[in-house]
Amino acid sequence: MMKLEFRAMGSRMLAAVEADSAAAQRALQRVPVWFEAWEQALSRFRPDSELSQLNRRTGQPVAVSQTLWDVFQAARQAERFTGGLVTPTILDALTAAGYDRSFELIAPPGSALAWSLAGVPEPAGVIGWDEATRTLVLPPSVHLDLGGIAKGWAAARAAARLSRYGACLVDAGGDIAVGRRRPGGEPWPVGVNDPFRPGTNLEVLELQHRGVATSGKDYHRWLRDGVWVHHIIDPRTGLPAMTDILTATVVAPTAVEAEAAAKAVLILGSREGMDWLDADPALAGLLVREDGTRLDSARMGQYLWRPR
Amino acid sequence: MQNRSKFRWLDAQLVIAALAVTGSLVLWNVFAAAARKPVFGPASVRMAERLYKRLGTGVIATQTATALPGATPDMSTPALTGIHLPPIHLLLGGKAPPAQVVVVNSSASVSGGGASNPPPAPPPPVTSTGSSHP
Repeated sequence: MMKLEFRAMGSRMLAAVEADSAAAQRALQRVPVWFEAWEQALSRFRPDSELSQLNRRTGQPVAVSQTLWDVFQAARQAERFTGGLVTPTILDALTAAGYDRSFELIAPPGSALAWSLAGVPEPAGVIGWDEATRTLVLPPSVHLDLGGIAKGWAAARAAARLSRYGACLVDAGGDIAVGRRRPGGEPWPVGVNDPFRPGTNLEVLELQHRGVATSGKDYHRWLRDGVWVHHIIDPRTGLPAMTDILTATVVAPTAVEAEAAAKAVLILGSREGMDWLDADPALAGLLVREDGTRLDSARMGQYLWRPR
Repeated sequence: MQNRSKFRWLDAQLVIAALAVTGSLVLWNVFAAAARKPVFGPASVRMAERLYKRLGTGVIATQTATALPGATPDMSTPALTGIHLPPIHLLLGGKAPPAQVVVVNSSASVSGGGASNPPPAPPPPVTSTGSSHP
């Protein structure tokens, strides 16, 4: 197996492929280049990115690249899939909460920045779009953040490209796309981080042809006027979600669905979130609550490594 | 008088030699850093892979990869066991080290054992999922 680690999109990335050919190695070395191109299209933290330019040109039709188009469509699907709990129109709410720059640059705890409310975000349905011309029209009050969806999409896209060379896995900052079984028929072992013990895993999952992602408020949070604030916005209120879940890990058919589902469950809270997971036969989840207790959904057991 | 004059000339020689060495290092740092090339070429990668296959164990670090413009390099070093190629560190400035392709032993997973064996451990994860870490 060959693997490559690098940084992109503000996170650690990893690509692994079960192959030893020179072609596979060349493809692996191209992965950071792919991510750089995607980040330049999709980042809201780069003023010259395509997304930033789109956000500055509200009220007028803007022709966008295939990458931005694809991720926008993935975000719309995620919104439908989660009943509106995950929407790309939360940028103003995120900015109002203080997440207005790359996380490592956010004002230190205790900063005197004023708390402001951006209101409830509108659904992505208010955005005009034309598939024939690949054009988007943002209403003046709507600005997009493709954050986690972009990472899940990038992981899936990179894995699809690498799969020509062998079984593969791509981890985009915790949003992981897992390909077919490894040689010998083994699934891919993927750890689930323990939020209370950094550097250790709660479980090891055995996955193939699946996506897995974790949404949490254990890392991306900051103090705002004496209140701990995090980056998971509840579109029903426009505020950081009030939830009893610290981290939610979801296994789904794709990395984009896993990312969206993990965020939706975290917003819903443990009781509603678990019901939502169990209602969809394609989903399984592992939740860690603020009080340290852990909950597994009905179908999670099939992915947990256990001695045979 | 003559001895004092000879002594001064030796001092001057030492100063000139020291300046020459320092100047060479500075010029080397300025001009050689930009022309650095990957330490391992394709031939050494193939040799490492052959060695890896023949011995069937261990981990071999190979081949540098394309640098990612604008990205902060991940400075973490994979835990290597078995065969080690010599670590290469260029400390004369220039760009940050690029990402590395790492070849790992794919048969490292553990399967069940007999009654006298220790309890089976989970296979080492290839990666792990958690909240996005900055």
